[in-house]
Amino acid sequence: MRDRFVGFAAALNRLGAAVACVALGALVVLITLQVVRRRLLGAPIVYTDEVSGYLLVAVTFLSLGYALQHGDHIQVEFLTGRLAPRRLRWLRVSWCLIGLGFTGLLTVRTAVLALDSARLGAFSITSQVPLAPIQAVAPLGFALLFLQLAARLVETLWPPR
Amino acid sequence: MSWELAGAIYLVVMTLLLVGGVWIAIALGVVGVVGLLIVNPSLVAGIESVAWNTIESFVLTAVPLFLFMGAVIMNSGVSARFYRGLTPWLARVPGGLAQSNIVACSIFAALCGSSVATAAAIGAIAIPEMRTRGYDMRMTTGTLAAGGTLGILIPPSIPFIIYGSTVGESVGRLFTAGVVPGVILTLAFMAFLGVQVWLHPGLVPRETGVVTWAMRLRALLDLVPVVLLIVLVLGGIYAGVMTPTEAAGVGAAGALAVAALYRGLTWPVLKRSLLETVRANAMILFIVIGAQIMSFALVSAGIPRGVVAAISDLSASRWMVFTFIVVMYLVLGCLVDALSLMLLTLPVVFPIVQAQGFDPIWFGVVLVILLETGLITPPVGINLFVIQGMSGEPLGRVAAGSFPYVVLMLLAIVLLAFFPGLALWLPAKMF
Repeated sequence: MRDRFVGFAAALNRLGAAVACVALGALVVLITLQVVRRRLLGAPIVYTDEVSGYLLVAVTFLSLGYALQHGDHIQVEFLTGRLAPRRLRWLRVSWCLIGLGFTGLLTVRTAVLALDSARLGAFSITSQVPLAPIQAVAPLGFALLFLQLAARLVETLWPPR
Repeated sequence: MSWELAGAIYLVVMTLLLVGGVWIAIALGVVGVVGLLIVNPSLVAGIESVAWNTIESFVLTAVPLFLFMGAVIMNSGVSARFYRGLTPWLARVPGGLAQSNIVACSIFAALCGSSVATAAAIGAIAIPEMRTRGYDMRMTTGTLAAGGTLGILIPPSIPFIIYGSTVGESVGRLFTAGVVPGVILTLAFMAFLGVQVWLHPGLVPRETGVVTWAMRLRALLDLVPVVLLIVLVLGGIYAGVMTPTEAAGVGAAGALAVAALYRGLTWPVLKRSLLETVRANAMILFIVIGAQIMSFALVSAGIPRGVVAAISDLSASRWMVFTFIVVMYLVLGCLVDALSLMLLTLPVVFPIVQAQGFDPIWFGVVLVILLETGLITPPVGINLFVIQGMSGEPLGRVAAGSFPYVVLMLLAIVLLAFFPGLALWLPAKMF
C-alpha cells in the first residue's frame, strides 16, 4: 500500500514534469518566432507576452512536486545535518506537515481564484481565452506538490526495510 | 499591533523555520501566512493573487529560458569543447590552465545565469585535466569555485532578473550595469592568479608542450560558435533589438543550434536539459512565490516603512548604513543561499537603500557581488560544495583556495562605492 501510494505520487509528478517540459519547448518556439516575426517580417505576434506568462505558469507549477522528488528545493541543513537519526526523522515529519499545511492552503486558495474566474466568465485581455482553465494549472501544481509531500511523509514515517 | 512587535514575531518564526531545516520557499511563505494572520486574517485570501501574479510574468520567463540555454550547452559537450579550445590561447599566460578556468567561467557565465552551473560545467572538465598535469589542487579548486561566482554577475544573470522583477527595475539596464564590474572582477582574478603563480611557481607544472599557431587556429573552431551565441544574446539586448526575455528565447534556440552543429544534440541530452531546467526553475520561482507572500505580509504590517523611519531617526550617515548592509549580507551569506537571501531581505533592505538615495541599479550590482561572496564562504557556500564534490578535496582546502577571491570581491565593492560610474556609465550610454 505504502509503495503503491509513493509510486503513484512519483508517476503523477513525472507526468507533470513532462507537460512542463512541453510548455518549456513551446516557450522557446514562441519567443523565437516572435523575435523573427517582429524584427525580420515586421509582423509581431500580439499575444506573445500574455501566452509566455501562461506557459511559465505551466513550466513552474507543474514541476514543483517533481523538483521535490529530486531534492531540488533548498533547505538550510548545516545544523539539522548533525542531529541523531531519530531526532532528524521527527524533524523531517514536521517539515512535511508544515509543507502540507502551506501547499494545502495554496491549493485551496488558487482553486478559489480559478473557480471565481469560471463563475465570472473571465477572459484574458489580449488573446481572449478563458482564464479559468489556465488558472487551474496553479492548484493542480500545488496539489502535485502536496501529493509528493504526503509521499515523503509516508516514507519518513514508514521507511522501506 | 506595532510594526516592531510584528517584525520581532516574523523574525522569530523565520529563524525557527530556516534553522529547523524547512524548505526555504515554504518557510518564507509560512512566515507570510502567519504574518497575515496576525495583522489581518482576511488578507490571507489575497495569497492566491500574489502567487498567480508573481508567476504569470513575461520578465520572469527569461529564467527558465536562460537555464535551458546553459543546460543544453553543458549537457551537449559544447562547454567541454569550448574549454579545450581556450587552452592553447592561454597556455603561455602565467597560471596556464588555471587562467583558462577563470576565462572559461567568465565566458560561460555569459551563456547561463547560474553560478552553480558555471562552476559545475567548467569544474567537470578542468579538475581531471589539471590533476593529471600536476596543478596545485587548492589553487585549482579556488579558481573554479570563485570563477563560477561570475555566473551571476556577468549577464545574463538569474539574480538580476529576479531583482529587477522584484523591485521594478529594468532587467536590461541591470544586465548592462553588470558588464564592467564583471570584466573588472575577471581581470582582478586573473591578475591575482598571475601574481600567486609568480610568487609560488611550484603551484603549476612546467608546461613542456609546444603550442603552435596552427593549434590555436584549429581551436577557434571550438570557440567561434559559442562566442557568436554570446554576441547574439548580449548584443541583441544591448543594441535594443531584443528584450532580455526575447534574448533568452533566441539564446535557448541558438544553444540548440550550436549543440546540433557539434552533433551533441541527442534525445537523451535534450530530455536531460529539459528536466534539469524545469526542476531548477521550479526551485527558484517557488522561492520567489514564498518571498512575495512574505513581502505582502511585511508591507501589510508596515515593517519596511517603520524600519526606514527608524533608520532616518538614527541620523546615521548613508555610508554607515551601507556598511551595515554590506556586513549583514556577508554574515547572512555564510548561512543562507544567495537567491533566498536576496528575496528574504529585499522587502526591508530595498526601501532603506532608496531612502538613503542609493541608485537601485548600482545597488543591484553591489548586491549581486555580495551574494557572490556567499557562494564561496562556508558553511553553506554552494560553489564550495559543487567543487568539493567534483574534486574530492576537503571543504576547508577548497574554501581556503577561494578566500583570496572573497577579498577581491570586497575590494570591488569598495571600488564601486567610490566610483559608482563603473556600474552606471554603460547603462546610461545605452538606454
